[in-house]
Amino acid sequence: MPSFIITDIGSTTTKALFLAKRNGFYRLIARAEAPTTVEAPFEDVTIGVKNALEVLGKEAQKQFLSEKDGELISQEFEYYSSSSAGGGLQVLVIGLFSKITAISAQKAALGAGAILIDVISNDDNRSLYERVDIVRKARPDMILLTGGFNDGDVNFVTEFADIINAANPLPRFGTKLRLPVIYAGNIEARELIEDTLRDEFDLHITDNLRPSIDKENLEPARKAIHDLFLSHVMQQAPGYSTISDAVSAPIMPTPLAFGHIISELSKEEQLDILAVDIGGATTDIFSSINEEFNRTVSANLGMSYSIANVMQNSGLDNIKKWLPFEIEDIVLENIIGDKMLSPTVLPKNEMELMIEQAVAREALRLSLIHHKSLIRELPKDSELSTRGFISDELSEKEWDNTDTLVDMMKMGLLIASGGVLSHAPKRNQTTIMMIDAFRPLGVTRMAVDSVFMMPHLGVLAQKYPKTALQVLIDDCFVPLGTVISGEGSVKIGQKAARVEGQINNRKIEFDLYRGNIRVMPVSRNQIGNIKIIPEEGMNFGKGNGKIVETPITGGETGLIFDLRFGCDQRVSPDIVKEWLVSTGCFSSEEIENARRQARERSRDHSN
Amino acid sequence: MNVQEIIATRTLPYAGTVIAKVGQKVKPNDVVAEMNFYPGLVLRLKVSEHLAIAARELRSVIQVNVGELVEKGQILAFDSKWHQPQIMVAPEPGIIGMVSKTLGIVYLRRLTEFNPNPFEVHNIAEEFGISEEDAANTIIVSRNQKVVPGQILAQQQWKKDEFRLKYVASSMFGSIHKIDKHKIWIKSREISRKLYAYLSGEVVSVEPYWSVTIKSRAYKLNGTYGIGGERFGTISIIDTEYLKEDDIGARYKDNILIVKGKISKEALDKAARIGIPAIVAASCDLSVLRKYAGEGFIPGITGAEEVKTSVILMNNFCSTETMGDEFEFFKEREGKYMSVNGSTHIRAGAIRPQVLVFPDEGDA
Repeated sequence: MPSFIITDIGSTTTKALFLAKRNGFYRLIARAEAPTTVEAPFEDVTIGVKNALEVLGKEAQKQFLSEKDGELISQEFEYYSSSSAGGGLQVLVIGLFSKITAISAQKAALGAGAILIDVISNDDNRSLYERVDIVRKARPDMILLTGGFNDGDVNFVTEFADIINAANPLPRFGTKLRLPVIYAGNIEARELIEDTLRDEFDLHITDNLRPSIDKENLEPARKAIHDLFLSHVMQQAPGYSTISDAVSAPIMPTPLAFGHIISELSKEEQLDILAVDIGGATTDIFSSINEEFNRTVSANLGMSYSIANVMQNSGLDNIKKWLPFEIEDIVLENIIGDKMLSPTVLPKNEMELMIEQAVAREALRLSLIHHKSLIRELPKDSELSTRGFISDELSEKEWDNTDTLVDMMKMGLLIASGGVLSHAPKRNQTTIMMIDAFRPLGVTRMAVDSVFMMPHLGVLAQKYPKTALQVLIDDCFVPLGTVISGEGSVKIGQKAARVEGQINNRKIEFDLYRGNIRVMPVSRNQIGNIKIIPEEGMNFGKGNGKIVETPITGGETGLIFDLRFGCDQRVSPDIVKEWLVSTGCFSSEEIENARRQARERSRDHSN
Repeated sequence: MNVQEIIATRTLPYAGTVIAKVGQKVKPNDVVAEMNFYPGLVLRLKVSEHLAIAARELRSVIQVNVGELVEKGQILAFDSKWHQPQIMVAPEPGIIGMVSKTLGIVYLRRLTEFNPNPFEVHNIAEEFGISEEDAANTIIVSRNQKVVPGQILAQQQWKKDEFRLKYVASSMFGSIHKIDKHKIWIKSREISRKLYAYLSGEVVSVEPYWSVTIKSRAYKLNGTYGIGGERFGTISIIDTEYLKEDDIGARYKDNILIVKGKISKEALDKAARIGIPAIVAASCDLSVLRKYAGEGFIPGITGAEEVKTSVILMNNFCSTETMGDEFEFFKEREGKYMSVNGSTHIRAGAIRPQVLVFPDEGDA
């Protein structure tokens, strides 16, 4: 088996890893970074890749770069890469109705790792003139045009083809090339679409991604997007043809690579997974549910550039409820506003750290709501749906009647990634932020991507899925532990369940009360089995009052029993303090410091 | 700080008339071009259906080109296959927007005249001829929603299981100010038809119907945060640590205020009432700006807020410092022309608010 060099060419940094066998297992041997060189004056990503590999070589004491002409990497290593440089894969999505084909098209494009420039639909309240203007100014890498069920209306989608034609948008790279357009709509309209777009655009026709109201067929469109990403975007982007020649498997867009490793893990472990990557400007949520992969991007929810937008969307009260201290609204807004103005500045004291983590909980919560709202069952009543397709009001009602597919009771694993989660000063803070925001139910394992290597492992998994998964578990994931939570009608303060079991041959036995959270330190190497015996009216995953027996695994935080939510708990700064101290997130002293700092800031402001 | 040469192209959002000439000296408040019509409603003319020809034959019978201005009654398409001329004429004046090869449709952009009214009111019950209760159910817009000419406000799609479509559309750019059962009030959005020079300098080139390019000399400063778009005026100094309502009077109309310290919400509201184009200050609480900007405000991407007075901050929100050297710079140039743009994009490749002071023009 070979050794692997893997790069992720990000917008600002190219991150390189070296994996090789040690004692019979692949391990992360070295990691290095260098600035990405996609922009002027370099306009050649290979410069950044070579710089990263030089540093990586020094770390690993190896020569990775080839000395032969025309060869990037020495032949003794296999090379893989993902990329989001230059703004990633930018797709303009057009669908007929915002809650039918446009949603399916978004799912297809996001699932292919794309960034959506805009989503245009017939009911988006824009005039024809504005739509033409948007398409004209978009400069996408490609357009995904969809619309109409098979044997349904053809006029609407053809009109959108006319709009594309009239706008005549240019591709982002390679202005002399024809812009790729993927048509994945009503098969009856194919001929009309070809007639309208074939001359001026690089038209690719694939299966209808929404052949009927109750069916989605996203894979052909996703594959077409990925193929075009490789054949067009990557060939035109500065320096990528050299990288394409050097890799042993196709380059993947970073979000697709991230999602791919989650899908592989979900298949291997036979469990539903929810993962989050919270960034400065956006938050990506990935889920693998019944082996179906989904991704959503919450464009204005992030922790630096978009932090004030999180406040605008969530409201100050929702942020304040996670703080263990009182603070004036004006002061809190200014602190969050200043974080937006100086996105790279880290929290200077305990108060700022707690505010940042409170905003993170809200960004995560809102992103999950967005994910749940898009990842839904398809409507089943096709007759009503066809009428709904014509009437916005009916289609909206139809859509609102469908259930989300994201069932927190069935999630087996939560994965945290992104600065505020990966680099929290204490792992327990990561654990509790995730629990507060996502509110898992039943028995859920948790882990954090400690060194941002999931995209690297995703791209490796194209060829070596088992190796990628083994490194994921051994070197990428830091297990946080297992959270056990229930829902039901038991009132706050009352007994909700009894826990019995053994952990590392140590017997445990205690009661759980509604409104409480309890953390038991259980390390990653400790295993055990527990039995949860719910009171009548409580469900921990098997149904009302039904006993749950489960093996448990520990982690940095351990075993968490959380029954705080869903019972009309009145939250105050003192209650939050109790939670944060009892879960090991912050010490009493740290919280008292934060309280003093908040008082001082309020005093400074009123002076 | 040094004076820089700035060359900028000023472009209309929609083709119109360029007024400025090459070589002309302009000041920031000079109109250099103006739109003749709003970019508004598009009419879909089913030409092939009207002429009873196949949609694909449209190209062979069409008599006009995309982008052409047509008069009411002008022939758009002509065919003689039924032994007598068949014609389709423009039902009203407009610009040919698109010609569909496959649907046999010509899209005519209507020439929507500027609507000078501050409000437009629609009584949906009367316009549809239905009961007030039924009319209320046909309204598809909501309060504060932005609308454009031609946008449907209320529609009837179904009647006795038979498909039909009737609608009431807006004829102005605006936002839904109020909905009271079956009545809709639209408040006009102040879209100016005029394109101002924004710079003080000389017109160096002109693209007919669309744009002018101006060469200018200016001191250029960047603020940390702003809201509101382009504004211009003469510099007026207010040396206070906290700008209150009483500090501002009508004498400041059309002046850009330079405030040494922070701004209060009351002062900002009064500035908007008086007609002060912009305030440049050391700081302001974010909560004040959020309330002032109104609903739909996105703190990370500003510039499109419909505010009378743009705001530029030179320090951050928490700052308790007053403006230092910059204040002295402005003070020395009181009375000079100045242009500002509050547009701020907080992201990689950020856009920060722009402040330009023109050294060669003004009273001082």
